[in-house]
Amino acid sequence: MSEEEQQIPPEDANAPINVKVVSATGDEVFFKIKRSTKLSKLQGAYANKVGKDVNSIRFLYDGARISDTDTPASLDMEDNDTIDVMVEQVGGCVPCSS
Amino acid sequence: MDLLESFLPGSSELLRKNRPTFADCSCLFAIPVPTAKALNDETYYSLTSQLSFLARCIDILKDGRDLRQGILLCLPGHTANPSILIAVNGLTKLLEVALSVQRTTLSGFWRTLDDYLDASREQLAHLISSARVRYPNIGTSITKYVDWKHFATLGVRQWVDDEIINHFVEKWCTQSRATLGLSSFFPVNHLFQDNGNCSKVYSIDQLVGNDTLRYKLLRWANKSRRAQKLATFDQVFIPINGNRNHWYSACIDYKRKCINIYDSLRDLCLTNRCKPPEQRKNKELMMALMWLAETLAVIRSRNEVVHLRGDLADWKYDPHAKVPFQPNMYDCGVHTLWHLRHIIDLGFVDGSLDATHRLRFTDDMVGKRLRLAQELLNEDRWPSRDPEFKSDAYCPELRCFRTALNNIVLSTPILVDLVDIDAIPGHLHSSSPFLSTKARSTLGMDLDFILPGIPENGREIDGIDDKSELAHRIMLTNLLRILGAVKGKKASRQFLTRPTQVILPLSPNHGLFGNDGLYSESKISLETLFQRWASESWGECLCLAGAVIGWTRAMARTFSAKEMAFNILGLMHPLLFSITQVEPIWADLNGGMDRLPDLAEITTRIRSSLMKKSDLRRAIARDNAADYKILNGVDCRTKLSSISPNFRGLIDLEKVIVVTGSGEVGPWGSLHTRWEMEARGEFTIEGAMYPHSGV
Repeated sequence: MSEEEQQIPPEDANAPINVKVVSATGDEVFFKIKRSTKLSKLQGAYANKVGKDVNSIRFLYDGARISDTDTPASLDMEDNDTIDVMVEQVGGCVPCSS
Repeated sequence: MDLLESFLPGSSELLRKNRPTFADCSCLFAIPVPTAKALNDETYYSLTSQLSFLARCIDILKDGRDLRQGILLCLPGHTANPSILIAVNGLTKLLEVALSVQRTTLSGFWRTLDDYLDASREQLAHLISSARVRYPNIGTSITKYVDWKHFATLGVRQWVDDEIINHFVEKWCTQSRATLGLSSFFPVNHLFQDNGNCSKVYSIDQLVGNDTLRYKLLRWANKSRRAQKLATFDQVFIPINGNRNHWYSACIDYKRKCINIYDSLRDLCLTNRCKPPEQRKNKELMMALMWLAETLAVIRSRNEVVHLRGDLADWKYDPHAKVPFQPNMYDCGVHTLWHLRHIIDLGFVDGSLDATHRLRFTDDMVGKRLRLAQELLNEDRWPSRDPEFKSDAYCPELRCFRTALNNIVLSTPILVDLVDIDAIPGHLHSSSPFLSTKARSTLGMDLDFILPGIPENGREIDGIDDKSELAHRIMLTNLLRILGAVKGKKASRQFLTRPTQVILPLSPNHGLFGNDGLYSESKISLETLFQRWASESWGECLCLAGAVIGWTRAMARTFSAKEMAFNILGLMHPLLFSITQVEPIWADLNGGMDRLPDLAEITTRIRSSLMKKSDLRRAIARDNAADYKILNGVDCRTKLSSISPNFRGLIDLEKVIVVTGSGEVGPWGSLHTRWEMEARGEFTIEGAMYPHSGV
């Protein structure tokens, strides 16, 4: 019994999970990623795929920024979780049109 | 107190005095505030560095305040010692004065920035362009997410970007402990439905009828609350980036029971106020905010139910709360941050502050931009925020660890050059930052421990060469010299209550192994120090702990290197440290291997058996390689090998540098120039003029 329990974590740690990256416009890109892989890799891959500079977009998981050193394991991500992508924001004041 | 004295000369004398007056204390900290005319580069930087120094003093004094409470708790059990109480009360007084000086200086400084916009504009432009050079310890990114590109958006007339806004919202709200600050991406995800443009709000029916939105919101808010370590909150601040070009904000205040939208744009507000309430621009947003307020109330307090839309609602709503307007097209981001500052400090945005208030809005927020930029640069970043302590960014050998009370700095100078040895204690010991910049270049530290050590092996008595001689010189002559230099520095500053502990690396290997060059000789000679500690006069500046280090590297070892490091660390324990102040300690850590008869024979046997094994493996590998060649063809290999033997060992004499003598040579030149780089970040002519005996 106790042996079985001990065997589960290593399997879990290496098992890849599916992650959905959703842009502000609703476009979805799916990634399969190991739980120990750094998410910076995923960020780079996504930016490449959509043809944007990785510095001009922000990745959020549950509203919190994802930093370069985070991994799915460190963020407690689960299978089929969603990462939101936001475009950088600036503001100075041109009156809103509406 | 020595630590304090090293920061603030004169403070320990002051502390011995009974009941120091305010004037006595404040002269220690006096910082002149420059007027607009004098607000130039030099005064600005000297002022900011003095302010950061003051902040550091306050940190240290705050430790003293905790000390005071501890002492007061202990006092009833002992016979009272008034001198301690005088000193401790003096410390408290000093802290009060330091805080009040900090307050007045800062507000005077900020007022100057606000009053003389042109001067601050110039200063801001200069700061933005030269910050990278001025703060070379910062690296490519200032904080985790803010890098130099984002920093530049704080510049004159720039549009501020989300990283800056989010950084300050999170930082200030974490400090405030009553305001929950949401990220600027929060409204994109939860309140608006138009792909990040933030102009079309979810209708109230969509919000109420949709459980997924509510679930998403709760999950998010719980996380931000945890991130900002809030048990509960009175206000929620939401920065909003409307239409991708305008920053404004909303604030839900549970205590005052109101929801306000703060927008610094004049025309929008004035035209909007003329319209009937149901046609006003922010009506939809206000409905969404009401929904938000109701939902967040659930996590704010488990018992309180907030009904905003019912008849009970005694809440007030202002979709265009009265705020100072921006008379330009670039300051809305700074205004938005300032709204938050007001909310945290005053509870609401107050546009009617008089001209002397440090939080008042100005026509051009350039003074605020300068403050924000400076705050960002002074960020408490690992390991230390003080520009004087930037050394660690330069060299891997000087690593800093931040501990609860102070910094531990580990430094590994190479004790070869006499000039360098004399300079090291001078570099480490401190002087006041109120002196000239040149005198300030030292690291402001005291030496706690000295741990010498260098390997040496492979030489019999007929093979004593320059390397053995150098190692001997480092381990013996120069070790004694640096002890002398440290003693001299300490004695001249009268640091008599704070001895430096020297861990002497002794060895049981007095020629037992052989083949060790002059190693045993230098080790034995170190043992004379134990007698000299008592017979000579440096006992109160230095204390000795001799560690007889056993075999950690050889094939037959008694401890692993890590275990031995732990043992040595034990010698630095305060308990043993206090013993060494009474008499030197001799710690035998070698594990008893020197007791073995025929040690050399035994180790030779072990060594030779290992060598035999490795010879065998090598032969097998050679065999395998031969097999491989025959199986896979040998043409290119043979061609190469026919040429290469002729070139083996051949060097181009025109490109060879011949080094005579000894000294440290590294990327920063000699040890002396390396110290300059570590301490100040720049070379000086004086450094270059020093004789570099090594090169």
